[in-house]
Amino acid sequence: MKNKKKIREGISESAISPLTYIVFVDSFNCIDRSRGYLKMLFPSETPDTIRTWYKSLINSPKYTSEKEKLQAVSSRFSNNPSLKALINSLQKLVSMSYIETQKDSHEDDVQSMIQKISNFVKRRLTDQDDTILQNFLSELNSATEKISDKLDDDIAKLATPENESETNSESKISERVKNKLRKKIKEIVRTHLMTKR
Amino acid sequence: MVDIMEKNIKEEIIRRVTKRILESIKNKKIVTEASGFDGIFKELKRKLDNVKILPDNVIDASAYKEHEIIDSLKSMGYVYKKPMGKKLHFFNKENSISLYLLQDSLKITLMP
Repeated sequence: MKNKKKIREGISESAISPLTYIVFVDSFNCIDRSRGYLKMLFPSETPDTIRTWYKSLINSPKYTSEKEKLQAVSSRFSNNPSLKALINSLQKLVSMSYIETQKDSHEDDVQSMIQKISNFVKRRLTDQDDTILQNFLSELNSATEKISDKLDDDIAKLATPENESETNSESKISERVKNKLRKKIKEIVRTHLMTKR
Repeated sequence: MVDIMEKNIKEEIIRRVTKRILESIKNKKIVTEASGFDGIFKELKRKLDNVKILPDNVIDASAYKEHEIIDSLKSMGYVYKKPMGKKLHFFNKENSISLYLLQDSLKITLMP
């Protein structure tokens, strides 16, 4: 339970969390219910559910006047092949099951992937984009918190107990490999006995 | 001896550069500013009717909103690469052409 909110904790570490950059560039697509990066990341969520995460941004009084700028940012970043590949990797990582004892390292992997994506986005933002991001920072952070909670919950659900994973991996070893190993052990024992004589 | 070596090096450089230029022409990678820009303008005008061509190979797209221009450029195969000062760099992998959209004035140029 102690480690549960690892992704969420990442937000408070800096003023703009790495996840906020993804939330920012995808904001208009999500509000518009278009297929964006968050939909790729959470394939089982409906566009309406994803839109509700941006409630605070939609309700902001600044939103109407700045809407077109957000739209320009989203259209610039949408369908970017490199960004798509990065989000796909993150999605695979998030949906991957892991051994309970390796939870920390798995969460670190997710966190570093998010960081990688945020660096990709950050390098491609203009001064004007930075201003819009700062203007909507608290609204975007509110969306980020909801998304990171969801990520933490999704990751927590995929933990597998150590014993179970051991039996699973054991069963995967084919009979052929087992026989080979038995043969090898016999050989070693025989050689060992012969050299002793 | 040194003169002969220098001559050989020069000839080799000329041979390699000529070969590369001929290969580029063959692969249509070299686009002259005039013909390439004219083509880009015509294609963009098909999507955004009110774009105007200005001197020095500049397209004025200020009649449209930034996202409309970006969507049109993307439908023409241009992908956003990175900002260069106040310009947004778009690159088309198919024809290796770079376009720069000035975020303030919404003008498109071939020059970075």
